Amino acid sequence: MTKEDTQQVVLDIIADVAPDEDLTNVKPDVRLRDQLELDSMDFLDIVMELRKRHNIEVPEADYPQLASLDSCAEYLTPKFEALGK
Amino acid sequence: MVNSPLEVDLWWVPLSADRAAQTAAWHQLDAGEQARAARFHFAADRNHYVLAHAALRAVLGNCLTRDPRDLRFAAGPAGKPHLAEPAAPRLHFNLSHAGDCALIGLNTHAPIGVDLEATTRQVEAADIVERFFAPAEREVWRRIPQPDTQAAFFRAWTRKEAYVKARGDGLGHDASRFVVTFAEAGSARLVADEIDPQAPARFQLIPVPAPSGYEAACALQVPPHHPVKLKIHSWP
Repeated sequence: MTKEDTQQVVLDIIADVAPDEDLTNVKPDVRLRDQLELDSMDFLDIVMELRKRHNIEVPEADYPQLASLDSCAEYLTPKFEALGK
Repeated sequence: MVNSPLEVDLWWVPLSADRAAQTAAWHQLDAGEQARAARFHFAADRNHYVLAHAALRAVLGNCLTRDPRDLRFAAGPAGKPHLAEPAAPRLHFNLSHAGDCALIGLNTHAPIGVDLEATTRQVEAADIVERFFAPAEREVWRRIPQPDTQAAFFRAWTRKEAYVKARGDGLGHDASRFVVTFAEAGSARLVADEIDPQAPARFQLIPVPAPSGYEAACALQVPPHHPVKLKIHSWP
């Protein structure tokens, strides 16, 4: 799984938890909450969906790693690889 | 101070405006806020942000008898904004917005958090409760009759959010390690906090009467027995 694939996984989840958002030009290096109207509940939804859809647990201490698409890719890609994806 | 009520001003702000009012609100913001607004993808998100933050400046400026455009803000470690005005009187404030509404809370004595949610929002409440709420809260949740669970969820959520916002911790304060009451609408209390066991003696939770379709709560860093007088206003 490439980092681009991981970013798409995150975007797919955001598209479901925040269906009103237009995700076509989300900047990967900018904090998601600075460019989308995501609040704490949306953020927890993303964490839950990572667990439900991909069996990836994100512990509380690691939440800051999900700030931007780039940081999501850095943090989640090794987890996907560890699951053989 | 012990017996005098703490006066807390709560301002309801409608987040809809015509183009002229939107433009006027934009010009109230500083360069950092304008840059933040410009990063929003959708015009509706941008407009909500602009109107809410212009209203915050106006309310604070009115309180301090200052030009709202001159106010400068700084952020705490978890991002909670505060006034970067050493010469200004101590003023605690917090802002929340949801749907087409914003809520601003302020007072001169105690750190404050407010949270506002649209109760029409589609959420997987049971999943959030099971995954992120404290065990004692999950027990309470399971006893709530099914027709009341959605309302109970938003009561719990707004109280928990208001508490962590009053603390200035944001998502860094693990929501599964502190307990709020939420079975009843009329009263609210922080019951326990594993991370800060003294917090229930130092923080007060208050349900805020909200417009239909919304749930709101306020948290203050004052002991639960301290009298508080809410003064509710509409902006402008």
